[in-house]
Amino acid sequence: MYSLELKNVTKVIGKNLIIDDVSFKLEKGKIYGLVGANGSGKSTILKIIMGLYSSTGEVFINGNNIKRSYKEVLSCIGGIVDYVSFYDFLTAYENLRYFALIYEVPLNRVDDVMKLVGLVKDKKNVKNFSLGMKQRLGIAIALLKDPDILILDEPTNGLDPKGIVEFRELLLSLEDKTIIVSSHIISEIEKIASEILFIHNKKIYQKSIVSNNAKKSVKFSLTDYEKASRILNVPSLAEDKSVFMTDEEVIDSVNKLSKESVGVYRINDNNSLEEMLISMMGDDEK
Amino acid sequence: MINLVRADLYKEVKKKSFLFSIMLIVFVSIFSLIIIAKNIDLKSELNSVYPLFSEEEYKDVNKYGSYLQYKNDYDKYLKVVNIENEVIQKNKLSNSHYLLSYTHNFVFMLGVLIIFISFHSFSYDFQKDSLRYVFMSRHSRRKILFSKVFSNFIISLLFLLILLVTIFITTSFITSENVFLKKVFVNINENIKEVYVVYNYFRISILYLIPFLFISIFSMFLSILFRGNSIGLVISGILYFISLVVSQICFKYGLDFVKYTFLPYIDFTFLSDKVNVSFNNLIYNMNFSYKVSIMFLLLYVFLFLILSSKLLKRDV
Repeated sequence: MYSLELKNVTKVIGKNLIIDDVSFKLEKGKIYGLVGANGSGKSTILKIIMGLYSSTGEVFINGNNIKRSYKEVLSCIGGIVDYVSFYDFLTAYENLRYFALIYEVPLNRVDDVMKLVGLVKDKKNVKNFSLGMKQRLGIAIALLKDPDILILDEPTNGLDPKGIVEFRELLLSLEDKTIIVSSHIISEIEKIASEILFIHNKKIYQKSIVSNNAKKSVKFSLTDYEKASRILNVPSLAEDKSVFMTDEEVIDSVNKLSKESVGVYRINDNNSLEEMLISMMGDDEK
Repeated sequence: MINLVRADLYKEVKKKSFLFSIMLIVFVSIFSLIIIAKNIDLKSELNSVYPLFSEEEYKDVNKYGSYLQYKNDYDKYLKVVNIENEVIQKNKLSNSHYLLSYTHNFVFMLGVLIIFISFHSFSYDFQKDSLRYVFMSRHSRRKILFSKVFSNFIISLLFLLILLVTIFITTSFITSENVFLKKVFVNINENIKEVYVVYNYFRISILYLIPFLFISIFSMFLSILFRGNSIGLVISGILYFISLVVSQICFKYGLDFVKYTFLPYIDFTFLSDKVNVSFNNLIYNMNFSYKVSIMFLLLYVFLFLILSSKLLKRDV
């Protein structure tokens, strides 16, 4: 049983198709990075999972359909989405106490989550909080229910470098939770996520980041690209074009090209997530 | 559900505007009572009786009503005036009762605070997007709506009690009569009975909780409809104040359909003057009473609850 499963989910807002026939499955205990351009539909997908947006298709949380088992599903999801803003006339403790009553969790859980995210019990109202402090409060509220699935939309927005490191450590310390982190800072996602969900053209692409067999973006500098394309059976091979290969495939390709007297004088192994996503998109669009 | 109500009350009580509202109720009512007491002669006057209109005079006021019906109902009107005048004569020495009769408007004005609080119970959440974190609880959106209605009702009741206690204590000081021990004669269902002043005032004031409930749900409905935009607050406020005037203009021009709307039934201060109600019923061929008003308002409470519940199902 998957922790989260989306089946053929489509969302139209007004006359705009936001996401089209999206399906993916997430395993328990893993951290997933949700990336995509601004306005690509990241927040929309998260809101559908959180039960805030209606959609066509089906969403299953721990095997329960969100439309049929609303109560069970929402009991095991916590998250923050978009700009985090709570009751700014209350203190952090009072905000958490309010949500503890709504979520029906014991009040001692408030102290636990405050300690977990590094908030202190004082008389400072939330309106005097920095953006980073508000993010911490948002994460604390998301953790109140001790959810199986934690959804964090742009959680590092407003955090200083120290805060980002602390946030990363906090996420990695949360065991047995399926976590979806959406961000446009791909380098940050690379450091915490084991898989990425990439939204492009209203569709979603799911890829592993750290697998040994993961394909990487590679650029070859060769003496004869036409000949090399025939030998390697890669039609798009050119000086400025990346191809998508595993380490083993790169070694095999160099051997083949050497045997056929094609000079290989440089290989750029560009392993950044951005490059990988662009390559993925290139492959998928072909 | 109880936890939702507790959470809402916890949040509302922590607002500075809550404390400010209580202070406003206390100070404005004390100040207004002092002003009223200084400017009126604390002696009751008997109600004058309107003579029976001729058919022409009646048609000038009510273009579509039956004159025959009017003539038949005139005796009922006379009976009400006579009973009320008898009550006034019996209460000649009760200054506190007389002063209190001027303060029903205070209870009506309390509706403004209730509109404000009810509107903001949703508008703040819409504007700050905090509503989505409330919706992520295991409670249905309908339950969340009901809990806000219930907590606003409790706040209305609390405000009303604070207002009444302030009015009673201030009236006692101004009139030098212990209002809590004072008894008066009142007209209850066309029978003259001697009751405690406080009881009589409380009996009438507690009925205002129905228009408060209605205006609270109506403001919440507009808050949800306009997603917290203050245009909803303005509409609620205007309707609350001009509802009776608008409906009387409609009656005057023969637009009888207005009696099926909530407009003529919101302002209960109109109903506290039995002679005036009886006169209006007579010339407009209507049947205004607490019972009819409560029935209509509860019907609209139910309707706006359903509409609000449907609107809350939208994406947030």
